[in-house]
Amino acid sequence: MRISTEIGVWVGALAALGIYSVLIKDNPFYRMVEHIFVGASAGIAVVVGLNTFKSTAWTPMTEGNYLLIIPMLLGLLLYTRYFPSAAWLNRIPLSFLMGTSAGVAMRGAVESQIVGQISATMVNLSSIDAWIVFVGTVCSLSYFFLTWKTGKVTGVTSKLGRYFMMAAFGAAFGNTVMGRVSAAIGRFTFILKNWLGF
Amino acid sequence: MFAKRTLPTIIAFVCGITVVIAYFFNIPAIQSLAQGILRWQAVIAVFALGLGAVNIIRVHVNNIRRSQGTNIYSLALLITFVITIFVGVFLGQNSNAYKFIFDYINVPTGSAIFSLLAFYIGTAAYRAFRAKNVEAAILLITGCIVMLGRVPIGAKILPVSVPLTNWIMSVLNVGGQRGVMIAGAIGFIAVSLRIIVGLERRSYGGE
Repeated sequence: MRISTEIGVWVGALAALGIYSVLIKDNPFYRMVEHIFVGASAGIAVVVGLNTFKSTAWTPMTEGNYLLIIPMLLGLLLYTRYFPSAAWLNRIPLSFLMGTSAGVAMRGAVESQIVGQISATMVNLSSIDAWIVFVGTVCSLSYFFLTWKTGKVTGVTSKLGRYFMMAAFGAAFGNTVMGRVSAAIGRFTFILKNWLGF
Repeated sequence: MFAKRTLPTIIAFVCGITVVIAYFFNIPAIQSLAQGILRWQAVIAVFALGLGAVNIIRVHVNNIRRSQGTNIYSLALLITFVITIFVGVFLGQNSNAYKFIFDYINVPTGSAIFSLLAFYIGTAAYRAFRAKNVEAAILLITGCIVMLGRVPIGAKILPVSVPLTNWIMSVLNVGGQRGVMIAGAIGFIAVSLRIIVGLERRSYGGE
């Protein structure tokens, strides 16, 4: 056993121990580490945001793209929410953000989640596996047909669809568990090897 | 009334519809307009991030004020927040101090929080994995097989778990997930359309 003399390793190990201490019960050590983490993460997000602002707005504007003053002013309008008499003004930048985000999300959904998924399902059905994927997709889709009452055929397909979805959720659950366990093993390795030197 | 209710709806509609049209139709004028809108959106989003920072400061300053200075957690949060911003802005993101905060505070703590679920998920699994009906039994069986197949010891206990896991992931999982994804995307498009045409005004502060 050779305990690390590196201050960073000590900080990292104590932070991990602080977080794991909540497994016993909520305690001041955990709450302190949690708050420090939130402070550091928020700080990092602000620094990244400031750099993004510098590269996407400030520098191009100082180089002559004066139209960028408009989104900056719109951005400033977001802060009117702190002044009740002018709070309605923040709806203008928010509507810009929401409208654009909805448009971007819509085309993303069409591209990757509908066209991409359907074209991936429409492959040459030459193997049993390809057929199972095809039947699974159609049946689980039929589960979401809520426009009409389930009949004999749709009742069977929707039931089968439910089974496929349960298998998918089970697989996702197993994957999540293993992902988290692997992260925990990584932390314990850090504590035992890097910090305590076992 | 126009500025408070109608103008935000018009802005959301114009922005949303321009971005969608630019994707589906090859019209250079609309595409360059959409690019401009997306660029403006990125700038406004940075200001929205600042709004979050202001809110964090307001909440924790209020906590400290209410507790008359005894709330050391909020104080620690604010100190870390200010130090991180100071280091990131004045010393730069490549400085040793910034790397220290990122590598030895942010990453290990975030990773530990992420892995906490490994412990809590055990109790969740106990509740969820009770084979009360066919659906629950399928969930239980696939979950257990995937967990076994993902670790080396699983292959020792049940050698068939590895190929079975691969099959579940590439066939059963794909079949089930695809249906969910397509159905979810249709719902997502419906909500996006409602926002664009102004039927979901609450999302941007309207009534």
